[in-house]
Amino acid sequence: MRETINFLLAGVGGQGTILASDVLVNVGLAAGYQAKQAEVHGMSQRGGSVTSFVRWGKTVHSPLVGAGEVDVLLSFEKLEALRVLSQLRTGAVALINNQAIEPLTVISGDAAYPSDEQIKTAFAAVTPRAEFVDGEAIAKSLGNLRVANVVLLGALSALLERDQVAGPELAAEVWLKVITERVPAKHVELNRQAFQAGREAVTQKA
Amino acid sequence: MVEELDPFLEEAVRLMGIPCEGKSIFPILGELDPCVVRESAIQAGLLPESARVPRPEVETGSLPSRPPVLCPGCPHRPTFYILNKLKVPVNGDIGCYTLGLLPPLSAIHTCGCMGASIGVAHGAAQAGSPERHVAVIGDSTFFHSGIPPLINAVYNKAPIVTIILDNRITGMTGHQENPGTGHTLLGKESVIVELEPLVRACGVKHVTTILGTKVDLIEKTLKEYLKLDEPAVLIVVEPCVLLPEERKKWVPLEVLADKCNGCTICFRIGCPAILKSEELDEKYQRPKALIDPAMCTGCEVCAQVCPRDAIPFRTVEVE
Ligand code: SF4
Ligand code: SF4
Repeated sequence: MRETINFLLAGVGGQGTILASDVLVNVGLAAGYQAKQAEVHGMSQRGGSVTSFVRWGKTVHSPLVGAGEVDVLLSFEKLEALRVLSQLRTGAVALINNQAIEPLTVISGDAAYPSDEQIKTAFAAVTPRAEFVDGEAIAKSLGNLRVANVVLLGALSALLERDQVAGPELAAEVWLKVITERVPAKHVELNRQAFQAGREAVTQKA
Repeated sequence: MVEELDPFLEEAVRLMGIPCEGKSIFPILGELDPCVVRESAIQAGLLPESARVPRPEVETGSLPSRPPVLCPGCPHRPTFYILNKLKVPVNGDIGCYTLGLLPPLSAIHTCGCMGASIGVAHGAAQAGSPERHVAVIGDSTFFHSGIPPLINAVYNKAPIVTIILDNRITGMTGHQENPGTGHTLLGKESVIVELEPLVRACGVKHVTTILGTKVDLIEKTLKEYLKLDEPAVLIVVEPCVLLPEERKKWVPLEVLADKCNGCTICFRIGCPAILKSEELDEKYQRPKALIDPAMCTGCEVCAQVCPRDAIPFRTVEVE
């Protein structure tokens, strides 16, 4: 078990960033860590940038993570990933959802959305461990767009194993238990599939 | 002592005769995040230089900002769209509607504390501003601290237009009841303090209440009021679209791609449900509009502003 693992979650208001942090903090607790969470920007309902910290560790005194100390990034949107890039530790694990949500400044033509090329190059300069996964496409293939976040959590669980961020205390079953506790009974199977599909999306690349 | 803002605890501890340092080391302004605390401690020699955490060199250039926006279907949108169109100076207040200051609506020019909208507009008039100022304030903020400045403006005969955006709830902080809703904070039934009689009782002669969805009517009334030499109040009423009762009425609209020519007018109302389509208009080679059905509430504001009738109004009414 590591001393601490610092997560940063980034996304756009309405994408479920805060809900995913809640899952993550509870996975940490279920795996036997102390865990704390802090939502940094409160405009989750209104389409603005949203970030949230989750910290796991033997002892966690404060939920805040300083710039340069993020071990793991989970970003639900590409531009938001780029926005928080400078907060990562060199060599951090990064999982980026391959989704672009254009902000109004881009739609109104006042600004340009960064190209995939630009995003990938910027990440490559900071860490070789950045993975891009298309959560929406995988969720769609399962027939329900709403499970995109569970797909990403599945991918994240596999990434943490692959890059040995966490040990055996973080079995897939621990994640699944926390996730399925939070969904209505009729959706448990779908969420299992989504989680599994997310894991495969990462392991197939390895 | 590590505390944000003023040396409150630091001074209390000193008064007890205990030696204490705080603001000589940590800044009095801003949030004390781990980086600020660490850096201050290094500067003060409390931590070694080696405690500094290296940040990766990142070249991202300037990225498009993503400020929060008025929700799809927000009843405040038409008012700000018109204010932007009329290019009048607008003094804003504290609430969801403060977001009207951001582009593309860009229709708030000052924002201070609660109740400051009316007071600042009044002050501008007193100072001899050649333009008519518009004060914009929400229903709950008006009940909280808009009445004394309104009486003051009336008493001093300031020719300002006050718009009360009445969304029938306290929106920004998460749907709390207020004196206009008929329920107490604990949900018990109570009296409804009605805005229009209240405003009249403050001595305002020109008062109108109109529905928040009526884009043209808001424009027409506002233009009339801006010509007056006396205080006027426009009450724009329309419930917050996120209220449970309102959610039941959501019906997404659609853009008729063959009618839309990508004129961009509907992009300028700042609704996050209106996206750029991948389909280009043949003549002008510019992207057509597309409505995200998962976000659109069917408020019909875009339908009202589209000059080509490319966005049909609702066909079904949900009551
Ligand atoms: S206002 Fe009408 S014509 Fe113009 S872009 Fe929007 S839908 Fe198309
Ligand atoms: S009807 Fe138009 S303005 Fe209203 S929510 Fe839908 S897309 Fe936005």
